[in-house]
Amino acid sequence: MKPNPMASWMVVFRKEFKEIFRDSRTTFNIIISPLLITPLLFAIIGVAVQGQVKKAEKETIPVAIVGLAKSPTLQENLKGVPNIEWKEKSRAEAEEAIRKRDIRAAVVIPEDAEQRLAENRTVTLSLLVDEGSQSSMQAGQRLETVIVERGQRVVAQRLIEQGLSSELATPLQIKQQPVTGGGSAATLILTSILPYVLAVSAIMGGVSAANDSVAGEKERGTLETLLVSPASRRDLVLGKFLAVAGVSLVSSLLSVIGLLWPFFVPLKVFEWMTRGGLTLSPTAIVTMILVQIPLAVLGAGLLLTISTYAKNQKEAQTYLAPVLLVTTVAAMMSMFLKMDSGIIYSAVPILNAALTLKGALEGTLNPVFVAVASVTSFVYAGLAVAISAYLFQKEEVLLKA
Amino acid sequence: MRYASQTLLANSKNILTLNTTLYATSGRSYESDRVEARFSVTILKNANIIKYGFKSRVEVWSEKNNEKAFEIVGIEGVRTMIEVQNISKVFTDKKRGEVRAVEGVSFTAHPGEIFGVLGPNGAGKTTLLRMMATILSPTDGTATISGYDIRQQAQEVRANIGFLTGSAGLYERLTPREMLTYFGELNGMRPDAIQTRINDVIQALDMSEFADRRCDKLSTGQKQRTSIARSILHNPPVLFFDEPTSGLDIMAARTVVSFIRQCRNEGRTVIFSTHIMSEVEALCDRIAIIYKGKCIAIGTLAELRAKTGEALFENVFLRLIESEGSYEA
Repeated sequence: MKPNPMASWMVVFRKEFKEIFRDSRTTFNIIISPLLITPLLFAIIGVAVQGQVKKAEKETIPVAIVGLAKSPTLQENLKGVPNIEWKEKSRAEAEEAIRKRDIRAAVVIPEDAEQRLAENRTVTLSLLVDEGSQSSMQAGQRLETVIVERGQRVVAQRLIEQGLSSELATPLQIKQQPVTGGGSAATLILTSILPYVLAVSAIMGGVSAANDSVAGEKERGTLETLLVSPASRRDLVLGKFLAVAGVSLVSSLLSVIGLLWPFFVPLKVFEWMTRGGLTLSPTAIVTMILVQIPLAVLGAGLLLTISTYAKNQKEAQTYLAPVLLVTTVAAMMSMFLKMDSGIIYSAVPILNAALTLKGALEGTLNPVFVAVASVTSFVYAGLAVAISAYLFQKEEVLLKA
Repeated sequence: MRYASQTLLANSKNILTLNTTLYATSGRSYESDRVEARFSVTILKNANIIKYGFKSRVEVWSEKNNEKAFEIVGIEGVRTMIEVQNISKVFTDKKRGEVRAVEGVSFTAHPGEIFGVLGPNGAGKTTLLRMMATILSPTDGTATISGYDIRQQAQEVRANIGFLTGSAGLYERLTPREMLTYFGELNGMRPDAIQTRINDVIQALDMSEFADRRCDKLSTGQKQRTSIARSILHNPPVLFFDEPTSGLDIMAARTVVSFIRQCRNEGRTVIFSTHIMSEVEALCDRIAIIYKGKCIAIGTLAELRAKTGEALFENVFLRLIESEGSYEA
């Protein structure tokens, strides 16, 4: 036999890679979806949220008020509240109207309100809301704010009447001022979403490639033709593994790009998330790239193991479901945890990578956590690859039909 | 190199030179007259005329005195291309326990010969072929293909074989040319050699029209021709056909059958597994009947007919199984 000009694993890798990107499903999932669909979703969310906020700002809320006639002071006090339409009703009418959703909420003024106000005592107003209705609860909150604010006016009035400063009632005041050079609101969004998106796309990005790679070959009857070629099974599995890991990497890298490009393209629909700009430290960028490697390797190993074990693609899909669920849950946990939540999380696959990335984005990398996470991630990834390579040697698994 | 010493009647150490054209002639002779086929040989090292017995029915004549003067170009000797020795395979099945799929099968096959493996579905034919092709490893026994041991030299064995099954698929998102390139590379061929060979094969199998069209757009017949091209791309001396016509329409099946004949004519050793009697009758030089994992008879069609006293091959087959005492009608 003439010497092989190219190693067999390289031949397999090249062919798999070429074939994967000819599949329109894969192209959509790996290229179009992260680059366009994810930003589009953000844009839709942004537009919807902004629209909702604007609508809420303009909307006039119909609210009932019970017993207003008996308190001229409160009548005067509650005048001119923006976007609230007061409707005078009896308590029974108000409750009925809330149930029928004709009005959102109601304020009940007690009989002795005017008297208590005159005596500079506290007046307790009852707020009627429907706890099963979100808009009623929101109206309740709005009324609470209005009443507290108008109450403060009463206090100020009382202090002035006593010849004192109105500031007596507000000894402390809060004004938020973001520091320059710190993270923006966008960083906050990214630190919660990016680790999740990255972990999920690095693991799931290779699903269709892996499924096609062995289970698909079994199904189409091409695996046998491959097994009778002089390429060793080790070369075959190595080539396939590298192709799936490569696809996973491309998928997660494009997911990052998909999340980041809106920050650099001034489009109005992204304003809600890009306001304040984005600050990414070099450490964050390097970590972002490094973290994906063990994730992609682990993902490729896992997916290839499933694909090798399954009889066909349908069976592979069935085995995949719990894996994808666990992946999603592990990645999602990164939204609620932090690196310093416990060193134990550094040994949890997927979650450890997501938390490391979160730490890098927040600039709070814990070296012990990173070290344990790196070692365990590579151990898990190595194990997954070893299992898939082992299965590839088992004739009863490969020829399962 | 392994010589079929039992078939050389004299001077077995001499090198016999047969050429491929000669095999083609022998193939055709077999069809017209299976008993009287004659071969011509040139003896390189020894001027003596050698009588060469091929299962005692084929005489080999001196080339110079033969009126059919063939051009002799170098296939070395008559050798046993395939030697299967007492091969067995036991599977462990969760439900059925230990399953003896193949039990102690032995046979030899030679260049320019179509060796049929005939048996009902589930007889163990596929397992036998898969062991010979190194896809499965035998539980016991072994085989040599082109002188290489299937247990010890699996990679060399695979470089010497082509494998075609009826259920073999194609890579649908590749074109036939890309797929052939892939298998050429896996077979360790050089890029220039691959392209030359692909062009030859495309021409020989009349594939030019669809060679650059994606495989999922091909008709059944075109797909089958692509599969054939894949199996012979690396020019293997041994070809395995496992139920190659199953699921094919008559035109596609015909392409396969004529390709198998062509392989014999080119001097390749063909192992042809099937359960279709007519294909065996039309193609095979010798036949092994496999039943319940065992080889219950080996011989030419005429020998098997003589052994059973039946003329219709279907009856030959049934009689052989009955005589095994294990036939369940």
